[in-house]
Amino acid sequence: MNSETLLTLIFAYLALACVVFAVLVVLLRNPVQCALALVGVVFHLAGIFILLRAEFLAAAHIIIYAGAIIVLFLFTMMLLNLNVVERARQFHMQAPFAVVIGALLFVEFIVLTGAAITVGAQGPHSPAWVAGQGGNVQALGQVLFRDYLLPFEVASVLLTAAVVGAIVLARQRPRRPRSSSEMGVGEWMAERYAKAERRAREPANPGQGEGPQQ
Amino acid sequence: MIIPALEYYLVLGAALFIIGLLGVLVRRNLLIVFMSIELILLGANVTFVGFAVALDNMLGQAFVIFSLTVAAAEAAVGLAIIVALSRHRDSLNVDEINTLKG
Repeated sequence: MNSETLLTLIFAYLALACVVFAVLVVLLRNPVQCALALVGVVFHLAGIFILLRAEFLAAAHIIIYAGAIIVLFLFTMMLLNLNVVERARQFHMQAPFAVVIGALLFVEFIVLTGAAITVGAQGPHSPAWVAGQGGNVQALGQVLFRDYLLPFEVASVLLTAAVVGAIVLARQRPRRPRSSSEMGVGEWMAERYAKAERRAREPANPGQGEGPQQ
Repeated sequence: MIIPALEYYLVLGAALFIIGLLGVLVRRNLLIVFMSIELILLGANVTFVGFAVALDNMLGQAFVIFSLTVAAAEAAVGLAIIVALSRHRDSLNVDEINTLKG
């Protein structure tokens, strides 16, 4: 068995596993099992990236998808404490139509794939150039930090905005309509006096009053 | 030169994209709809890397990093929206979520 056949077999296994796990993501009832199937997709996809000699992206996919995004999904499910397996119907009425349209789109993609191979010129980053840089990671760093530094910085701004947005969206709303920082000084003092008076009136039973005992 | 030919990688990317698209169209659980969106992005990533390697152009691989960034940002904001939504409602059924007002 020569190496080309071996690589093709490895690709066949990885691609098949990817598709099977992806179908499981769509079909399984329990969202936790769906998330685990998504982990399977990502790991086999990382194998395919290694087959393409894109080692950095393989590692990045495992770290970011399996390590961050899917863990975020699982955290959300556990935070929400939903009834994870909903008894209601899981699929829309439009499922048969969606499958037909998806199959048509897939056929269209395959037809376009045959046409797409003929277009495009060879770029400057040949395997010899990549090897001269010292490997895939170094070559990707050269391209990313020399030619595309500004988009990279913009991506970091996007991440910062996403973090702030996520915190603002998921924040617990305060129970009282206004916090103490929004009260006027007089109002705040009046509340303090009322609290202290209540505490002074019933000193006999500690633990019953509001706030910590001093 | 990549083994097997570029067509196989493109078909795999298209398959992942279509499966994710069907998940978005067909499922009713909002969390699984989000996971299907991640599948769509993964399919796009396979296509990017396949073309990048076949055409000897590193830009495709650099772009996948941006795609990963956008996927992470989208997941963070989307899941925060789901958390905020679940404070108002019991279920995450997309059919019942039809107003923008809180």
